[in-house]
Amino acid sequence: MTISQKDLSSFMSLIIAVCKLHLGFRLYHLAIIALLVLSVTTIYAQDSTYKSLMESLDTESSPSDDLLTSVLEETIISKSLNARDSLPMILDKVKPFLKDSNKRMQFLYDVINSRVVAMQGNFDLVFEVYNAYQQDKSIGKTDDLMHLHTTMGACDARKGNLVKALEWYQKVLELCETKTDKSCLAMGYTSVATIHFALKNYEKVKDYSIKSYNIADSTGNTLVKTRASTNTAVAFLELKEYKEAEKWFLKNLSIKDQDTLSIFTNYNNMGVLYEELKDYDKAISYLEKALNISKRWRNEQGQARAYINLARNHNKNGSNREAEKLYAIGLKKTEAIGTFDVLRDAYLSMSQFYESTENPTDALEYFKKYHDINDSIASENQRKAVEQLEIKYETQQKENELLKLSKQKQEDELVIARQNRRVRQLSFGLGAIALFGILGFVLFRQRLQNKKQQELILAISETQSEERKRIAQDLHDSIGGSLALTKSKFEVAKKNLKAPSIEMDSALETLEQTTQQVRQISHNLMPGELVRFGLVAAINTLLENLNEEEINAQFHSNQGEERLEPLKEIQLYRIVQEALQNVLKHARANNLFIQLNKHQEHLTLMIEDDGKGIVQDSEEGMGLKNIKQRVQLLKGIFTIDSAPERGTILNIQIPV
Amino acid sequence: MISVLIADDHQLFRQGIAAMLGDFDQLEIVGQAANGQEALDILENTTPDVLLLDIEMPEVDGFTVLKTLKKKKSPTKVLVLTMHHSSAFVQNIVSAGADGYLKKDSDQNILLTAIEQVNASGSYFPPETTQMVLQSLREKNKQGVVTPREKEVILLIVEGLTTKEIAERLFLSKHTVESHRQNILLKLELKNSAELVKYALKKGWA
Repeated sequence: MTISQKDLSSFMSLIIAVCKLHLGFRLYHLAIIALLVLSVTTIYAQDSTYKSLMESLDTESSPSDDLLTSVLEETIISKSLNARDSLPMILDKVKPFLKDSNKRMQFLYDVINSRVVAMQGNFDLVFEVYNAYQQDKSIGKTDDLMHLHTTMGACDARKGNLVKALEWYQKVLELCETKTDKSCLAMGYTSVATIHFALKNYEKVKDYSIKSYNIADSTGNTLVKTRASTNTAVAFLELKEYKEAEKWFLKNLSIKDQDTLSIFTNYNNMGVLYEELKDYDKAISYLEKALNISKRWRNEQGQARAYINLARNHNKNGSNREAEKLYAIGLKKTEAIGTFDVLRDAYLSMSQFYESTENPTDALEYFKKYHDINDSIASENQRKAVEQLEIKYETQQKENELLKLSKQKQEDELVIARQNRRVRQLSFGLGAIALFGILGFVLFRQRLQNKKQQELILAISETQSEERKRIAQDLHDSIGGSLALTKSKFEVAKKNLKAPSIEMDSALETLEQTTQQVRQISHNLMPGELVRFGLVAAINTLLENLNEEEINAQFHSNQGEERLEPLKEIQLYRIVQEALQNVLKHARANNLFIQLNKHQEHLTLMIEDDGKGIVQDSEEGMGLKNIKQRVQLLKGIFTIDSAPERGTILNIQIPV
Repeated sequence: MISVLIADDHQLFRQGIAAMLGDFDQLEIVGQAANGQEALDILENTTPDVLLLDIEMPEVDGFTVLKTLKKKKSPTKVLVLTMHHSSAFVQNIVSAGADGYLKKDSDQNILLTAIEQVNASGSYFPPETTQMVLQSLREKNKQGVVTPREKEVILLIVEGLTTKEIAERLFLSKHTVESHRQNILLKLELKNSAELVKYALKKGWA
C-alpha cells in the first residue's frame, strides 16, 4: 500500500492531536490493572485475624478443614495487603489438603487460583471456574456469588467487554445491597469507576471513586482507599482540575502500608506527571523504579506498562536508541498479554515514536492499529449500552427499596393481625366492611391527588430511614387522623340512636382496633419520639406501651435530651426493639433493665433480663444476628452473657 | 361564647372537627388554618379564646407555633389536638407552652369539656394522660437505683474480687463485668471502686 507524502503529513498532525488528547491513557490504565488484583481483596478481615490464621496454618501439620476454609475465606476477602503478594504461596500450602468431600474449600481455592492465573494474562481458567460453579447450589452464599461475579467482571473489563463487565459489577452491587454490611459497596463502586474510566466518563469516575473512598475510609479498607484515591486523582487530572487532582494524589500518598501494586502505581503516575511537566529525567527515574518493582513482583502487565512509558520518555529525551530497545521489549510483552488498553497505549506511543524518528510508514501502521482498538472500545454504542445499564440498575435499586418497605409493613401487619384475630372475628360486621370500603376509596382518591404521594415517589432513592420516617408520619397523621375523626363521628351517631345497636358497637370497636394498628405500624416504622426528641424519649415510649403485667421494665440513662447522630439513634433504637421482642417472645422474664450510659469515650447499651437464658439454635438467633449486624455498622463491641435460668445480658459498646 | 381557631394540615379532619363543634351553641369557630404559618398569620389580627393545634404540620409545625405564642405572651389558650400519645410527647408540648392536650380520637363531649376547661381554668389534661406522665416521672425517680445483678457485682467488689474473678463467679464475661462496674459508678456518682466499697458499707449492703 502506498501513501502520498501529503496524506501522511495530515495523518501525522492528526496523530499529534490525538496524542495530546490521550495523555490520560498512560495513567488510567492503572486502574484497570488494579482491578483484577483488587478483586482478590476486600472487606472485613482484620489483619490480626489473618496473621493468626496464617500462623496456625504454618504450625499445624494436618490442619482441619475449618482452618483451611477460614484461611481461604480470609484470603479471598482480606484487606490485608501482604495477603495478595503471597497468594501463590498460600495456594501451595492449602493444595495438599483439598479433598472432594469439601466442595466449598475447593471452590474458594479455585477462585483464588483463577485470579492468580488471570493476573498473568490468562483468563481461560476464570471462565472455567465460573462455568463450573455458577449453577452449583452449594455455592449459594451471597459472598461466594460476589467473588465469582467480581472475577468475571474484572476479566471482561480487561478484555474490553465493558458493557459485560459493568453488568457483572452491577450484579455485585445488587448482591451487596442485600447485605446489612454495606462495606462491600466500596469495592463495587471502584470497579464501576474503572469501566467509566475506559469510557472516558471522568465525571462518573470521580463520583464513584469518591463514594468508594468514603466508604473504604470509614471501614478502614486501605486497599480500596488507595485505589479510589488514585482513580479520583487521575479523573480530576483528566477533567483538568489540577488542584483537586493534587489534593487526591496527596491523599493517596498519605495512606500508609501500601502494597506493591499501589507503590508501582504511584511511581508510574509520578513518571507520567513529570513527563507532562517535560522533566524527562525525573520521569525516567520514577518509571525505572516502577519497572523494578513490577519485575520483582513478576507482574507482566506492570512491566509492559513501564517499558512502554519508559521508551516514550527516552524518545522525548532524545535517546532514540534506548527508546527503540525498550519499545521492542515492551511491545513483545504487551502483545503476549493482549490486554486491550495496554496494547492501545503501546500502539499510540510507538506511532509517535516512528513519527519522531521520521519513519512515517511505521508510524501510520501503528496509528491504524491504535485506531482499530480504540474504536472497538469507546464506541458510541458501548457508551449508550452502559448508560442504559446504569439506568436499569438505579431503577432496580428503587424497586428493591420499595419492596423492602412493603415487606416490612406486611410483617408488621401480620404480627398485629395475629394478636387481634380473635377480637376482630367478633367485631368484623358487614357494616364496618362497607364503611371501610367507602373510607378507603375516599382516602385513596385524596391520596392520589396528594402532592405528597409525588414527593414520596421522588424521594425513594433517599435513604431507607428517611422513607420510613415519612411513611410513618403519613400513616400516623393522615390516616390516623382521619380514622380518629371517623370514630368521633360514629360516637355522635351512636348517641343519636334510639335503641342500642350491636352493629354500631362492633363497628366502633373495629375502628378503635384499626386506629391502634395504624399507630403501631407507624411506630414500628419510625417512632415520632425518636425523630423529635431522641433515643431516650423513644425508648421510654417503647417501654410505656408495654403491658405491665407482662414484664416490669426499667430504663436508666444519663443521656438526657442530648442527641446522637441520626444513624446511631436509629440503629440503637432498633437494637432495643429487637432485644425487647426477643425477651417478650422467648425469655419468660419478670424484669427487664435497659441502661444507656454515656461514658468518657463510649456509649454503653446494656439490656438485661432475668429470664430463662438463651437456648442455642432457637428463633432468638435471628434477632441476635440482626443486633450483631447493627452493632458492626456502628463499629461497636457486642457481647452476650447468658446462663440457664440466670437471664441474659446484651452488652453493647459504641464509640462516641 | 368561646371563640375557637382550628389549625390542622388535613382538610378532612379540620372540616370534620369544625362540623362537630358546630353542634354546640357555646362555641364559635372563628377560623381554620392549614398549617402553622397560617395560624400565626390569623393570630396576628385576631385573638380567639382557644386555639386547637395539631403538631405535625408542614413547614411551620405545632411546636413552633407554641413557642412563638409563648414568646409573644399571647392570651389565646392552646389545646393541642394530636395523634401522638406518649409521656415524652406530652411533657415536651407542655414545656413548649401548651395549655391542654387531647388525643384526636377523643369523644365529642370530651372535646367540648377540654375547650371549656382550657378557656376557664387555663389547662386541661385527660386523667389517663396525667396518669401516664406521672408514672413516667416516678420511673425517672427510680433512676440511680442499681439492679439486682449490679448489686451482686458490688458485693463481690467489696469482697475484694478482681474483675476476672467476679466474671467467673457470676458466669459473665469480663467485658460485661467491667461495663457493670462503670455503670454502677456512674449511677451512684462515685469515682472509683474504693469509694464504691465505702458506699456499700455505709448502706449496710456488706
